[in-house]
Amino acid sequence: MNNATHLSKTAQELLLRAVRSPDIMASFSEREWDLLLRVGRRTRLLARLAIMLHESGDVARIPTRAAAILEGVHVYANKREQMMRWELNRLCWALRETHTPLILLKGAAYLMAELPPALGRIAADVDILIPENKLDIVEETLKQKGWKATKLSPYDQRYYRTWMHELPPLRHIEREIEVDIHHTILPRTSRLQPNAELLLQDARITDDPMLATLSRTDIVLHSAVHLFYDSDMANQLRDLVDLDDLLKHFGEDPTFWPQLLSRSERLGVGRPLFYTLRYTQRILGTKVPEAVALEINATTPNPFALFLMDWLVPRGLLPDHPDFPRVSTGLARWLLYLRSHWLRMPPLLLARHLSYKAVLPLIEWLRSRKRPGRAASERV
Amino acid sequence: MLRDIPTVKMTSKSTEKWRVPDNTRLIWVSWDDEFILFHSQAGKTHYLNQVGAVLLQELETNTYSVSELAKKLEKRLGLDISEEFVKRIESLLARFDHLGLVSKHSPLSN
Amino acid sequence: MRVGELDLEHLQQRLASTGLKVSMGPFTVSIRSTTLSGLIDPLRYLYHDYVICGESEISDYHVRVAPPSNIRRWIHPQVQFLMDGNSPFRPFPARLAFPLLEWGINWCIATRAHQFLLLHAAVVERRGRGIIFPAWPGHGKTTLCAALIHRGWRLFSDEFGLIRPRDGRLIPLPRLLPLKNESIAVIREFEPEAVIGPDFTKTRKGTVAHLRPPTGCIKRAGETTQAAVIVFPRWQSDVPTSLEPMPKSQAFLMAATNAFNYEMLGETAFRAITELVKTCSCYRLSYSNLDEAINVLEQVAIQGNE
Repeated sequence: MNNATHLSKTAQELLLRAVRSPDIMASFSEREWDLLLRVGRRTRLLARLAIMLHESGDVARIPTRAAAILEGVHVYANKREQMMRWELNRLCWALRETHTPLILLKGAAYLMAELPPALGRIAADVDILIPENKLDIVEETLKQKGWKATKLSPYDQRYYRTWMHELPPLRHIEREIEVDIHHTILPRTSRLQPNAELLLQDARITDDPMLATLSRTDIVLHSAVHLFYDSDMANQLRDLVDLDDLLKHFGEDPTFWPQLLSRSERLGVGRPLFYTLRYTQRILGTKVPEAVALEINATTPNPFALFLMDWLVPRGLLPDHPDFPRVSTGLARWLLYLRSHWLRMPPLLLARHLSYKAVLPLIEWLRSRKRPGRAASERV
Repeated sequence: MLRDIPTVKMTSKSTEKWRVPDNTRLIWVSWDDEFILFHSQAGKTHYLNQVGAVLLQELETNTYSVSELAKKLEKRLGLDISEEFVKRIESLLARFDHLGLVSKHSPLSN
Repeated sequence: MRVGELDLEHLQQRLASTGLKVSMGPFTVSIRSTTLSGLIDPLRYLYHDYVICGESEISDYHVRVAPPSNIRRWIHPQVQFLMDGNSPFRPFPARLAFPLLEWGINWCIATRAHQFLLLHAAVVERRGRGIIFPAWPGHGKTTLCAALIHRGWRLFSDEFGLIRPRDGRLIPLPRLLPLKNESIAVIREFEPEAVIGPDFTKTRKGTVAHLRPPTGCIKRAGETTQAAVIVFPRWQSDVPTSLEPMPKSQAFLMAATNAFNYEMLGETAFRAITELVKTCSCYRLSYSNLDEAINVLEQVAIQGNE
């Protein structure tokens, strides 16, 4: 093992130990903290660790400087949560007369349904699902009430409207948070096409009649589809932690697991569920009932694809040592980036999209080994 | 018939009541006749003159229609109610509504 | 150990390997760099008095200044600033490596140090009382601040008014003062003993030269103080020196809108600034002559709170 590999392994191990057993952080040395703070920030897990330490009281037992840095991160997380809650308040206010319940996805849903992944989760935007026939009225109403489409090139505008599963992002002129309104959970052109109708039918209203979430199985499946079929996974360990949290939380009820399996079949998303169970178990030690693990094996990809994914996924999700990025990680992430586009678009459109858009960022990205276009989520 | 329409609208508008929503937390600080307000849920700070501040403070304690508010302001600030002044109240309320500081509270929903 | 006590070879070696960990007020900054003569000479000279921290200590910011790995390096040598491997801004010409480092560290603090309320202000202390000069672009807070600290006032910061929300104390962050354009000559003349680094010409803000704070200010970076006075300074040519009280609501708004992270801290910031404005005397100062301005401020520092 060369030096960079050794240092990166150490960094990943440290991060996973902290995430899997937060109590252990009280015994970390200054040197370990120095590294944990960096890789935790890179993977957007630092705010979660900060809040856990705060709640357990262990924050008093860690080095003072680490506690001070975490306090800054905690402040940032609180601000993002307040922004998210207020944006939802304003969306309800603006859309009440359209009588369209808003089905919250991801961060917004975890927050309003008080699910475990909400802890210290810093979301860059509010994601909402509504029936396709309500898109026009919702967009128009929001535009009348102060929301504007964020600046996009005409190509991007067309790309969103024609091929994606959402309106171009909207933002209120007096606020900073972005609102993404989807009518299904994957792009129209995607390899998988889960039926949005089924998701809508099973949605659950929250305490506020304007706000709803997906059902518990669909929350997990959406999160799985998003990570494994709609992202390039780079430093996205946070999303795998979300899945671990959700499986632990819902899995306490034994009836959840058979429902999850049959629902994944009904929606045609067995493969992303397979990856979810495989990698949460392998990376985070998630406990999955044996019968479930056996049954999901029916959706195993071919051995070569599985071998490749086993090589790619940890290299995508886990961060390298920040001072010693590895070439192999760069390669894995480049392949995952291509894969994410391959899954989203038919080949011809992909070629067009890449030629217009992706070639330049790709080269820059290889150079800097930095994920394109997620600046907001990396601010902490 | 056509003439009835504005009358109907007027009636509905004048019975419309306003208030600061229940769970709203407002923190005030004032120097002389100038008021600074922190709205916790929105995370925003607002700078208000006396008319805006008195109006909002009234709506923090009770539910009022525009005409009731005009009377309150007349009493507290010693102002004459003119049509123009009522319009100013209405536009202030619309702005406050947009900011989420006040909300409509129609008598029917009680 | 201080940076000045490290010989050139060891300094270079630290910058190239584990990083030079420097204490700056409440923050520890780990600086790494490839061998760039444009960086190391001013760094050695200007960071002379700053304390070096132990190698295993936690750093608030891990920064690196290095040439970007692209073709242009052979045509126009460039450098970029990296924080934890990410580069938040475009590369600079290589000759500006040092100003880039200084600017980059400020950027790290402004975007991350939310454990403090970060006013955009110069802060100094006189007779145990903290005086805040909120930034008013182009109105010369840096020049005034540079003059004051060479007349016995203690520097807290030229850029960041750090307030600890828990108790409202002002926290020193005695970083270098970036003098710009005419101020460089003004301060050289005002205080011939001032330690000023090389002139960096043609930056985005014109010519910049960095002033090293007097040694005592750096040594006392651990001593906090209570704010007593807020002064909004304004330099204009040929105006008589005048100090007028300022309405508190205006002082509040100017301090809040100027802060780097007022919205980020929300209620905490609102309460801290309310308390600050309530307890401080607030003034507007117009001046053209530095000595006269200092005399007026001496009077302000002597007076108790009204």
